[in-house]
Amino acid sequence: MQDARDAQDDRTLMAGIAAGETTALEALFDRHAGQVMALCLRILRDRAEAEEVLGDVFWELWERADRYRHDRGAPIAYMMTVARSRAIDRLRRRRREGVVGGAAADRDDARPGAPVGGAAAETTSSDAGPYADAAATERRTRIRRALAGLSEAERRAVEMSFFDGLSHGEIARALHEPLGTVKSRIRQGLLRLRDALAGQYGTMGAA
Amino acid sequence: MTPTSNGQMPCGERRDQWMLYAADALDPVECDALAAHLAGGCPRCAGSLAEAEAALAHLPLALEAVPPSENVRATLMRRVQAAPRAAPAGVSLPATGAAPPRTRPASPPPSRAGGWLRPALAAIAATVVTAVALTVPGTQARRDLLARVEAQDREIVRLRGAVEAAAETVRVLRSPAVRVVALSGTEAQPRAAARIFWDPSRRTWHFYAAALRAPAPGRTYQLWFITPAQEKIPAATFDVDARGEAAIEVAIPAGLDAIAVAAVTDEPAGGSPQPTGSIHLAGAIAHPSS
Repeated sequence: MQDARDAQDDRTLMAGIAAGETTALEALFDRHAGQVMALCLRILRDRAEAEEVLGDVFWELWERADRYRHDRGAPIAYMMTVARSRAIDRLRRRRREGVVGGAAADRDDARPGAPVGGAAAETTSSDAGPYADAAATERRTRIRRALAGLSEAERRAVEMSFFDGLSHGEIARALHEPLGTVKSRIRQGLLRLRDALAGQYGTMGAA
Repeated sequence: MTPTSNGQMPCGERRDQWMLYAADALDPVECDALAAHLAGGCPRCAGSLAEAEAALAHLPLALEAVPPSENVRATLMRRVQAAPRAAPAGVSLPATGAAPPRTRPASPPPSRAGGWLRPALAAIAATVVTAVALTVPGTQARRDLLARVEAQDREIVRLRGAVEAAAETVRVLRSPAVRVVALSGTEAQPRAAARIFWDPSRRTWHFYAAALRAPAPGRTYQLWFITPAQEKIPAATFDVDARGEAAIEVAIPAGLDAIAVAAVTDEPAGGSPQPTGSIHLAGAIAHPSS
C-alpha cells in the first residue's frame, strides 16, 4: 500500500536526519513541506507566520530527532502533530496579545469553522514525485470522505477545536449554542472520525 | 461507564476517552485522571492514545498542500549548515504516542552562539522539567507549574531568538561584501529611520527600522523593492515593537537584479500587491544588485 511505503521511506529519512544527514532533511522537506504548510496556514491564516512555523517544525525535526519514536507512529503523523501544536501555541499567544490574523484572514477557507478542503488559494503538487502526489490525493479523498460522514454541526465544531484552537466555551459563544451541545458534538464527531479512519492508521499511524 | 471494584473505569471503556484526551477535548479533572492512569504504565491505554493521536493526525491531510516560498527551505538549510548539531537532550520527556510533549510550547532552536547560553538554558529547562515531573497534588497546583513551564519556555524562545538574530547580524556585518542602504523618514514620520544591510552574495536584505509609530489598527508596514523602471515589488510586511523598532530578513526574488529604491508604506493588514498607503521611509540605492 502506498501509504505504508511512504511511511517506510519517511522512517528511513528520519533515521538519516537522526544521523545528521542534511540530504535526508532536504528530502523530507521536499516531500511534506506543502502539507505541513497547509496546516500551519489553515491555523494561522497568515502566510509569513505559517512559513516561520514551518521552518521551525523542520528545524525541530533536525535538532530534536531523538524525540521521534518510530515504533509509535509514522513520521508524517508526528510532523503534523508537532506543526499543529506549534501553530496553535502561536495562535493562542497572538490572541492573548490581541493581534488579529493576517494575510489570508479574509479567505473563505481560512475563517474559523470553514470546511477543511475548501477552495484553497494556492495548490500544487509537491516535490515528492507523481506517485507520492497520487497517494496524497487518494489519502486526502479518504479523509474528506470520513469528514463528510459527520453532520455539518459536528464537523464545524471539531474543526474549530482542532484547527482554530478554540476552547469549548469559545466555540459555544461563536456559534451561539449551549456549551453542552458543543461538547456533545465534538465528542460525537471525534469518535465518528476515529471509527471512519480506523482502517487507515495501521499504515499511517502506529505501523 | 462501569466502575471496577476499585472505583476506576475499565481500560476497555477508556478508549473513547483517549480520543477526547488527544484532542484536548476533556475538562482538566478528567484529563489529569487519564494522565495519572497513563503514567502508571498501562499498555492498553497507551495503545488507545497512540491510535487516537494517529487518527487526529489524519485531519490536516485533508487539506490541499500549499507550497511554501522558496526561501523557507533555503533559510532552513542555511540554519542547519551554520549550526553545530545539538547533543541529544539530557532530559527526556515521557513519550505519549506520536505526539510531542503535550503541554510544552514550541521547542525553540538552539542558539548558534552556543557558549554560555546553551548550558544556562539547559539548566533552566532541566530544573523546570524536573519540577513538573514531581508528583504535585491538586490540579490547580499542577496547572500553576505548567504555566511556569510555559513562561520559562517562552523566555527561552525569546532569548534564543535574540541571540540568533544578533549572531546573524554580526555575520552579515562582518561580510566584506555587505552594502548599507540608509532610509530616511518622510513627512509622515520625519524622525523615523532605517538601515538595510545587503549581502549581494546571499541575495538577502537585513532591514532594521527605528522610531516608527505603530501602524493604525488594521494596518501594517510593508517594505518594497522599487526597480529603475519604477516597478514596485512587495518585499515583506512587518510590525514594530513597543519601542518603534523592527528587524526583518528579506530574500531578494530571483530575477530581480536591479533595485533603485527601497521604501516603506503602510498598507492594510496582510499587505498589498501594490502600494496604496503613505510612504513612511525611503532611500535610494546607489548601485544595482550584483
